[in-house]
Amino acid sequence: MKLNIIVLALFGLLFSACQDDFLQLPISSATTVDSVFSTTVKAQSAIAEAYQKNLSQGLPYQGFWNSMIHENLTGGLNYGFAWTISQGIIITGMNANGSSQDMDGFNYNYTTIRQACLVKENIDKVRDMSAADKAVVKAEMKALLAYRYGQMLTIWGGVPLVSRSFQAAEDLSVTRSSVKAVLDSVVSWCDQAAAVLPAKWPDTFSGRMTKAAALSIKAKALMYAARPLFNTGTPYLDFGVNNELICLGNNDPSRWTTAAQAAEAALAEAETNGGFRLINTGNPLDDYGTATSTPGNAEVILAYKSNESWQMNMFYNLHNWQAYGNVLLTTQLEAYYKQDGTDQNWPTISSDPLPFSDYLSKMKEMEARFKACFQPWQMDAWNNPGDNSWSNQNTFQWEMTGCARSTKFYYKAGSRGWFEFPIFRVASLYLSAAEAYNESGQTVKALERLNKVHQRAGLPAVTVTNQAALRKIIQREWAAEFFAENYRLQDIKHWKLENIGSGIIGGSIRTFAYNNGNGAKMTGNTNYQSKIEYQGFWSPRQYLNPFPQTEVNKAIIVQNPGY
Amino acid sequence: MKNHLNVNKRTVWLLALLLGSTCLNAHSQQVDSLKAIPLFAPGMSQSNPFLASSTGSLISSSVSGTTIAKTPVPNVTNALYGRLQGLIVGQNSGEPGYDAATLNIRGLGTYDNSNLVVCVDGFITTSSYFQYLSPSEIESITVLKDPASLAAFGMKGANGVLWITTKRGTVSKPQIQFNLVTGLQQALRINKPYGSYNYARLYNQAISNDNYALNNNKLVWSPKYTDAQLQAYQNDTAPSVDWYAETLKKYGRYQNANLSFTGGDQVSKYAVILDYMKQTGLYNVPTSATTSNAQIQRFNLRTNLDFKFFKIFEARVDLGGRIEDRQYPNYNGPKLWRNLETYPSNIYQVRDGNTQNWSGTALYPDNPVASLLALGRTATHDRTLQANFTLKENLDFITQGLSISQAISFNTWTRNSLGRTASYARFNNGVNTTTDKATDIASLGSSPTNQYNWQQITLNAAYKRSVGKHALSADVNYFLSDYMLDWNINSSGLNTGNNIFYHYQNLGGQFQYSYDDKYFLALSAGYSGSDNYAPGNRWAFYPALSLGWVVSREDFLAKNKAITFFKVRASAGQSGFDQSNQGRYLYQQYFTTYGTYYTGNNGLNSNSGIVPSYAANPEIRAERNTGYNVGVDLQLWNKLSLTADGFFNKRTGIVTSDYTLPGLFGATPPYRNLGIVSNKGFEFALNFTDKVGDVKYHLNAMTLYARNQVKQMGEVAPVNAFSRLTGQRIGTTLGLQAVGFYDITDFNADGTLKSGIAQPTFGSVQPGDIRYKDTDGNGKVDQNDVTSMGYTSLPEWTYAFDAGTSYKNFDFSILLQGAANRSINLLNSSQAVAFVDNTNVYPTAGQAWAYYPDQGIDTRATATYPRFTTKANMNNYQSSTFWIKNGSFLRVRNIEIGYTLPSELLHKIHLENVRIYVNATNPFTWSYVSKHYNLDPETISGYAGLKTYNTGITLSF
Repeated sequence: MKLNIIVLALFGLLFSACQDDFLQLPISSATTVDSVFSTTVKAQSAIAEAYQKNLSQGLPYQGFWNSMIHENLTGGLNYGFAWTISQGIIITGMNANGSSQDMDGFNYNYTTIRQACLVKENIDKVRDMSAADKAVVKAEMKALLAYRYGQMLTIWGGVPLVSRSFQAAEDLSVTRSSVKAVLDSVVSWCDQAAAVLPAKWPDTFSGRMTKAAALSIKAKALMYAARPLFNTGTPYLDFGVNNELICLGNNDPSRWTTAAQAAEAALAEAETNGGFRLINTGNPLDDYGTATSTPGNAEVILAYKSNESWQMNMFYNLHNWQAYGNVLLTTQLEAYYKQDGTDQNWPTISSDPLPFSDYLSKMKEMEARFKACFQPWQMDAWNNPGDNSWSNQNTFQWEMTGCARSTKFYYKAGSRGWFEFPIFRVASLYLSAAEAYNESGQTVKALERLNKVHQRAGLPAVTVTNQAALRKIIQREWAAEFFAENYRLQDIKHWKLENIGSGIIGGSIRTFAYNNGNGAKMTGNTNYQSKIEYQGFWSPRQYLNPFPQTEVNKAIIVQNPGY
Repeated sequence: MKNHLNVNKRTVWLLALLLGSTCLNAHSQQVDSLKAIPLFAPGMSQSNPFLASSTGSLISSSVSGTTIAKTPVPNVTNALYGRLQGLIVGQNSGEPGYDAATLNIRGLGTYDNSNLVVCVDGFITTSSYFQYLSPSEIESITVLKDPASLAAFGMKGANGVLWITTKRGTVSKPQIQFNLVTGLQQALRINKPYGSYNYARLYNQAISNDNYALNNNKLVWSPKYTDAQLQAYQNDTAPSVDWYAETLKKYGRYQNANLSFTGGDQVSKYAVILDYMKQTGLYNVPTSATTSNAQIQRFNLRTNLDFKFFKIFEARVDLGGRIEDRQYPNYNGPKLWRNLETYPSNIYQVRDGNTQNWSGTALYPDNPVASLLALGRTATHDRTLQANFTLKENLDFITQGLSISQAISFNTWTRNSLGRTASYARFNNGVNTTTDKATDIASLGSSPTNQYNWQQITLNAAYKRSVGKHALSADVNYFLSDYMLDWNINSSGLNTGNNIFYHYQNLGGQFQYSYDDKYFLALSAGYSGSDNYAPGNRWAFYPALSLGWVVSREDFLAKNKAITFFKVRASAGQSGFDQSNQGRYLYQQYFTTYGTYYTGNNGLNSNSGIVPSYAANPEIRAERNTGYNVGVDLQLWNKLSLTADGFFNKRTGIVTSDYTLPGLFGATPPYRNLGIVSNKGFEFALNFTDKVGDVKYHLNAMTLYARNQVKQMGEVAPVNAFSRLTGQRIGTTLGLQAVGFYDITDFNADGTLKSGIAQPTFGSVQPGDIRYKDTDGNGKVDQNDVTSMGYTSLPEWTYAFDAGTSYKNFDFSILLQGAANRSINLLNSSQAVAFVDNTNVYPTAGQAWAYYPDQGIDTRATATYPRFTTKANMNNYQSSTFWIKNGSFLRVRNIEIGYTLPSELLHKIHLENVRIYVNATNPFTWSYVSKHYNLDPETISGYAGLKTYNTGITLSF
C-alpha cells in the first residue's frame, strides 16, 4: 500500500514537471499579439493597416466585380452596369437585407475601428519607440476613429460608440448613441488628437495624420451637424423617442458659427504650420488638375494612399471597362459653368436633336474644372494633353449614351493607373467656411471664402448677396469642385434638397443620347439630344441608411425609420 | 495463480472465437466478467491479471480477427459492416488504396471533429495505420462506447475509441497457419448515361426549351440535331462511345496470402505473421513500364514476443511493420470518374478518325481512355512501423496483487512519390484542338512527400485483490504522447507551417469493486492536458461512475431454468476531445499580413499592413461529453441472449465561430465553446445459438438507433424560424419544398406568372420548371422559404442480421446489414443535372417535362424531371426536396460456404486443419435509389464501391 502511494506521488511529480514545458506553444514565425507590438518596425505594419482600413470608407478598394463609386448614386454618373450594387440601390432603393451605400457594410466600420483601437491600446508595448512617438501614434488613431465615426454619422445617424477593442467575452450590447453623442465624441477626439499631432511629417511619412487633418475632420463633422438634416427638432421621419438617434433635437443657428470657426481653425493650421495651400498659379486647368490628381500635392491634407488603389482604379480610370460605364449624367453636367461664368444652354428633354457640332462647341466652352474631369465624345481628353493613351481612339470602348466620359483624378497621369484619393483638400475648408458664413448671415466673408475656390477655377467672382441665392451657388460650387470626391451624396441628403426625389436621386434622370437616340460612336456622330436614362427611386427613409437586418435581429441596434 | 489466469484468458478467447463474438459481450460477461476499462498503454491489459478485472457494468463490443477475415477486403474498415454493435460503418469509394469506410460510434455527437480514436495495442495510431493492418494480425477489435469506459481516455474519449489488439503467441507447440484468398472485384453498380441517340434527342428538347423567352414565351421546336443526325447515331454511323466500357474492365483482382507462426512456453511466446495483399482496380489498362492500373500491394510483417524473466518481470516486444505500394494512372481518379459521368457519348471517337491521334476538344479535353493510356503512371511508397516495448514488474512480494509496468511506442511513417509522366496532343477531325503537345515519357524520380513520427510513453500501476466475496482492483496510468508530422498534412487553422507538434498527456485511473460477482461498482477518471489551449485551460478532469447488478445470481433467480443470466447496468461519465476542425491554438491572437499602405509622396515609403485574424479566445478549451448508459443483458435457456442499451450523450462546449456577436465587435468572430449537441438512442442485440442433431446454427440480430440534435450552434436567427438549423440533425440540408412543375396554364401571355402564384426569385421561370412552395406565404419564393429536408447521409438506424450453420464438415454463414432514416441528395452526384455545363443526360431524366405536340412530345402529365435546359438554371437546381431521396438500404455484406476436410485424411499428410471456402461480399443490395435511380446508395458518384467474389483456403500445421 505504501508503495502505491509512492508510485502515485511519482506520477504526480513527473506530470507536474512536464506540464509546464511539454504543453507549451512551440516557437513559430507567426505574428501574435505579443510580437506584433514588439518593435517599431512591426508596429508600423499595424499602424499602416489602421490607416488603410479607416480611410477606405466609401471607396471601391476591394475591386469587387460589382463595386460602385459614390457618384453612381448621386445622379452624377450613370450606374455603370446592371449587376453593380448601385443599380439596385438606384432602381429599387436601399433595404435592410441588401446593400447600403457603404459597400463594406455597416459591420466593417467596426473592423476598421477595432484596428485603430488595437494600435492605440498596444503601442505602449513597443520596446524601441519613444514616449513622445507613442503619444503621436495614439493621437493618429484617435484622428482615424474620429474620421470613421464622422463618416458613419452622416450615413446612419447615431451609431453605437465603440472606442476600444472588445474582448469577445465582454458584454457587447452597445446600443446606438445619439447624433449629439457621436458628434461630441468626434469633436473631442479631434481636439485631443490635434493637440498632439505634428503639423508636418518627415518626407518618408508624409500622408499620416497631421494637426490640420484632425482639424479638417472636426470641421467636416461640425458642418454636417449644422446642416438641415441633423440641425432640427423634427427629423425627416418621426422616430418618436428615438428622434435623437437621427437628429440633434433642435435647430440651433449657432451650429453654423461653430462650423465656420472650425473650418477657419483648420484652414489657419493647414496654411500656416502645415504647409498646405490652395494651388492657384493662375492656370485654372493645371491648378485644379494638380490639386485633384497629383500624388502628394500641396493642396491635399489627407489622402487614401493604399496600394489597393490599383484595384480602385478599375472604377475610376476609364481605360477599364468598369470605369468606362460610369458616364456623366445631365444633372452633374449642369453644375458646371461656362468658362465665362455663365450657364451653358444644354438641350432639354423636349427639344429636337441638335447637330453633334453643337455638342462639341458647347463642350469646348466649359470651365476648366469640367475639362479636368471629363472627356466629351469624339474628343481627346483635356486632362492629358498630347498623350496618345488619352486620345479619343484609345479611351473609346463601345457606343454609349451619356454626356461625357469621366477622367477625374488622372490629370497628366499618362500611363499611371493608380492615384491617391483626396480625402481633404484645402478647397473643402474654404467651401465649408463659405457655407457656414452664408448660413450665419456673414455674406461678405462667405463670398470671400467662396471666391477663392471659384476664381481659382478661372471663373469671375461671385457677387450675389441674397442668402438663399448664394446658398444655391455655394451648393453648386460643392458639386462642381468636389465631383467624385465623396461629398455629393451626403450633401444632397443633408441639405435636404427639394428635388432630391425628382431629378437628383429619384425621378427621371437625364442624359444625352446620340445619333437619333443611340449611343455615341467613336467618330462620325451626327446629332445629340436629351434623354431619360432611368427612373431613380427615392423615399424619405433613405436620408439615412438602413442597418443590416442580421444586426437588428440581435435586438441591440434600433433600425432607422422606414426600413 | 498465473497459470490459472492464463488458462482463463485462453478459454475466454476461445469462447469469443467460437461465438463469432459479433456483438454480444453478454456471453463472456456472464459471471466472471473479463473486460477491464482499457487505459492507455495497456499493452498488458489482456494478459495482466490485475487489469483483467471488470466492473461487469460496462458495455463494449468486440469482433475477432477471424471474423474480420471472413470479409476479404484490402481495407480492414470495409470488413466491419454489421460486425460491431454500436459502430456505424459507411462505405466509400472503392479506389484501391483510398477506400476507407467512415466510422462513427453511436452516431454523431458533435458537428466539429468527430473522428474516433484508434488504439492499436494500447497506443494511439492514425486511422491509416489501422486501415491496412491485415486481419491475420488482428486478435480483436473492440468498440468502446460506454461513457464510463471513455472517461479514462480524457480528452481523447468523447467520440469513442476503437481498441485493437494484435495476435500473440500462446503456450503451445509451434503452430503454423497459412491462408490464401483470391477473388474478383466488381463495381457495385454503374449507372451509364444515355448513348448518343437519346442524348441528341433530348438535347433538342433542352435547346428548344431554352428559346422559350426568345420565341415570345412559346415553346417552339428548334432542334440542334437534325433527323439525319439522329438517324446516324441510331445506325452507329456517328460517334456513340460508351466511355465506361472503353475505360473499365469487368473485374479487378484481389489476392491475399498470409502465414503465421505462433507458439511458446512459460518463458517465451511468439507470434510471427507475414502477409501479402495485392488489389488491382477496374481500369482497362495494363500495368507496364509506362502505364498502370490503380493498384495497391501491401507487405506486412509482425513479430509479437512475450518474455518472462527473473520471476518478477514480464516483457513484450511488438514490431508491426508494413510497406504499401500504390500505383495509379497519371490522372486524378475522382476526376476521371467525373469525366466518365459527364462526357457525352457523341463528343468524339476514342481515336480521331483521320489521324488516329487521341481525340480531344477544348470543351472535353481529357479523353478518358487517353487519361489511362497516354499520361504515364504515378506511384507512392509508404513505410510504416509501430514498435512497442513493454516491461512489467509483478510486485507481489511487496503486497499481493500489485504490479507496475512501463511501455514505450515508436510509430513512424514515410511516403515517397514517384512518377513517369507524358502528355498527348488532342485532335478532333484532324485538327489539333488544344495547346497540349505529345511528349515522351519522363521519369520524375522518387521524392519524399510526407511523414510522421509518434512517440508514446505509458506508466502503469495496478493492484488487484480478492478477499472472500470482495474483489477489488485499482489502476493508475500515466500517458504521454508526442506526435510530429509534416506541415503539408497538417489540419486547418492558422500558423499551420508551425503546428507540427502535438503534445498530450493523460492521467487515467479506475477503481473497481465487486461483491460476490453480483454487485459491481466502478469509478474511473481521466485528467488530460492538451497543448491546444492556454495555460489554465489545458487540463480537464473527466469522472465516471458505473454500477452493475447480476440479478440472476440473486437467490430468487438462481434456480430459474429459463433465465440463465440477467444483469442490469448503468453508467454515467464524461470525456473530452481536444482536436478541433477549426484549428489549433485558438487562444492565441494571430496576425496576418494584408495589403500595403504608402506614406510620402508618390509612394515613397511602403508600409505593409498587418491585421488580426479571428479574435483570440483565451478561454477556449476542449469540448466535453456527458454520457449516460443503461442496459440489460439477458440470457434465456442458455441459448438466447439479449442485450439492450439506451444511451444519452450531451456534448457541450463545441468549438464554434461565434457569429451571434454584434457586428460592432469589429473582428472576425472568435471561436467559442458554445455548441451543444445531444445524441441519444438505443442498441438492441439478440443472439440465438442452438444445435439440432448434427446441425449447429446461430442467429444474430442487432440494431442501433442514434438521433442527434443540435441544441446550440451560434446560429444567427434566419428570417423565418422554420429555416433554423438549430434543433435539427447535424448536417441537415436546407432547401425549398418542390411542389411539382409549372404548367403552361400558370403563365400569362407575356411570360409572367399568373397572379396568385408565388413569384420565384431565382431568375425567370417557364413551363416545366420546378415549382416551390412559398413557405412563408409572402408571395415570393426565395432563400427565406428553405426548410430542413429529410435525414442526413448518416443513417439513424443501422441494423444487421447474421446467421450461420454448420453440418458435419460444411459451414455456411450470411451477414446482412442495412440502414434507414437516411437521405441522399442527388445533387451531390454529377449525374443529376442534365446537359448544364456540357454534361450528360441519364435515363433517370428520361421523363423530363416537355411539350412539343407537333413532334409528338407531351410529358406534361407524366414528367418526373424538370424541363431540360443547357444553361445554368438557378431555379431548378436549387437545393430542394425534389433532389432528396430515401437513402435506406439493405445489403448482403457477406455470404460464405466452407468445407473442412476430414481430419483423418489430414493427419496422414501431417496437416491439422484444411478448410476451403467461397464467399462474396456485397453481392446483393436493395434500396430505393438503386431501384429508381440506378445508383448505389452509398457511393453515388466517383470510383464505384466494390463487391467481391473470393475463393480461399486455410491450412494449419
